[in-house]
Order: sequence, then C-alpha cells, then structure tokens
Amino acid sequence: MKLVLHDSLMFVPVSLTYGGATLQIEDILVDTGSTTTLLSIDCVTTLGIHPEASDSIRRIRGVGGVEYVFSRRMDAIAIAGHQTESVELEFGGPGKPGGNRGKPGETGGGKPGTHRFSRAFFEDRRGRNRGHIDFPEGRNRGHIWKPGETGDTSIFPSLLRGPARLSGMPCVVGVSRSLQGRGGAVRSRSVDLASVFREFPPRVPAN
Amino acid sequence: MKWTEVRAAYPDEWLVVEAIQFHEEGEVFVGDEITVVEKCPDGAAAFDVYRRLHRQYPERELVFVHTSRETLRIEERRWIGIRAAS
Repeated sequence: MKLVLHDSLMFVPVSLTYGGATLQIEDILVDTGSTTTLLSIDCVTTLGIHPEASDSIRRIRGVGGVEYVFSRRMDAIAIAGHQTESVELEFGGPGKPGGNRGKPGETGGGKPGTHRFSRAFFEDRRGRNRGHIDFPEGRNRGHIWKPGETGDTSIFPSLLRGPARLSGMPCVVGVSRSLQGRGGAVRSRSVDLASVFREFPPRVPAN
Repeated sequence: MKWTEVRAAYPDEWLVVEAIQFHEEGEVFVGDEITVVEKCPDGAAAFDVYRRLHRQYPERELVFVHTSRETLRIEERRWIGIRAAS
C-alpha cells in the first residue's frame, strides 16, 4: 500500500462504492488513533449520501467541542486494491461546503502539504485532565513535540477500553494547525501523560 | 417541549432542534427539553442547516434529526484529537 506523506501526515487514495456507484477520493488522511472512520459529507455528494431517517446519529465529543454525525453502511471500501465489503462509515460536516475532502479518523479540510501545526492537545480518556502545548513559530511545528513520547497511536483502542490511570497512562495528542480549531490536521501519538503534566501543566482545569 | 411533544407536533419531519436540557447516561446522550429551531424538507437540508448553525453557535446543543425516532437518545463517542475546520 502506498502512503503519501505530507507534513508528517499520511494520506491514501480511497475508493468508496455505494448504491452501485464508485467514487475515488485521492487524499484521505490516515489517523492511526481513530476508532471509526469519518468522512466529510462534501466529498461524497456524488454518491447521493445524505442523512436519512433510518440512519444512526452519533454525538462526538472531543477537545474541540461536540459534533453530530450520521452513519451509513457502504457497499465496499477499497484502499490500494484491498477491498472490504459492507463497511459502516460516519459522515459529518467538517470543512467548508463543497470544499474539503473527507478524512478517515475524522479530520478536517485543507490540501495535503498545507498544514501548519501550532498547538497540541492532550487529555486522558475521561477528559478530566487535559491541556495543550503551543509550538513555537515555524513550519511543521509538530515535529518538535517530544516530551513523554512512547510510541505510536496503535494503542488508542485499548486506551479507550482500558482502566483510567493517570500516572503513566498513555494519552493521545492531536495537533492542530490553528488555535481556533480552524485546522483539521490530526497527528496522534501515545505519550506518558504524567510526564507531560510535569513539563507542561494543563492550562485547562480538570472538570 | 419533550421529544414526544415534538414528534406529535412535527410528525414525519426533518428538524434541526436544540436540546435546552439534556443529560448523559453512560455513553448515551439524552435530550430532555427540546426546542425546534427549523423544519426542513429533507435530511440534506437539515444537515446543511445544522452545519451552518453549528458553525455559528458551536456551544449550542443543535441536532439534525427525523421525528420518526422514538427517543432522543443518541450514542456518544469520545474523540481525542482535532476535529475539522468549522
């Protein structure tokens, strides 16, 4: 499988089949920390995907706030020749109408290579301890983030299911390219939360 | 209005509603007191209205929903990372 790297983010072409039609989307962002796949509704309009009464609605709550999405089962999804049939995807409204692409793992818009990281967010699985780290000026600021790094985001699903232990518990960091949530880039990795808090006390008080 | 009252007043309709009061039961969001913000001709229109209003008022608990739903209980999922441009 060929992954395209832009600013430390992985992109991959994805082919969606729904209702007998197939749509190729060239730049889908791969977020290895995601538990589901969410696409912008704007990139699937040609497949005629809109909310229907029978769709499940989900409320997604994260650092950036709350958003409602709906889910729909696709006939098939194919990535680099590997096809899986009957896959449920989520669709939401990231990006601008008629503009941005969808991104697996829920991310935002913008073209590959245009991301500018400026702030990292972190929190534990219950959202009780969270904060952020601002990166200094400069392109690809996400690269400088080091404290407590222990690996990649493959631990994320187990993190959601596992016991909430603050000390030494890995958390996931997302990196945005703007301070106001305008950016969509997701860059997640596991870190040691306790070491993060020692070095960067959370600015957002625990709930 | 309670959701049952909304359903009675707007049968078989797409709506954008606001949950004025709600609570959470584990990982389920439950809307208790509901205000109808806009009636929409179909799901696509409801989603567009939702998206526009959500951008404008991100702190409000706006939902696009069809009144065929018997309850306003919505599965919740935590997302760690960055959400999209809005």
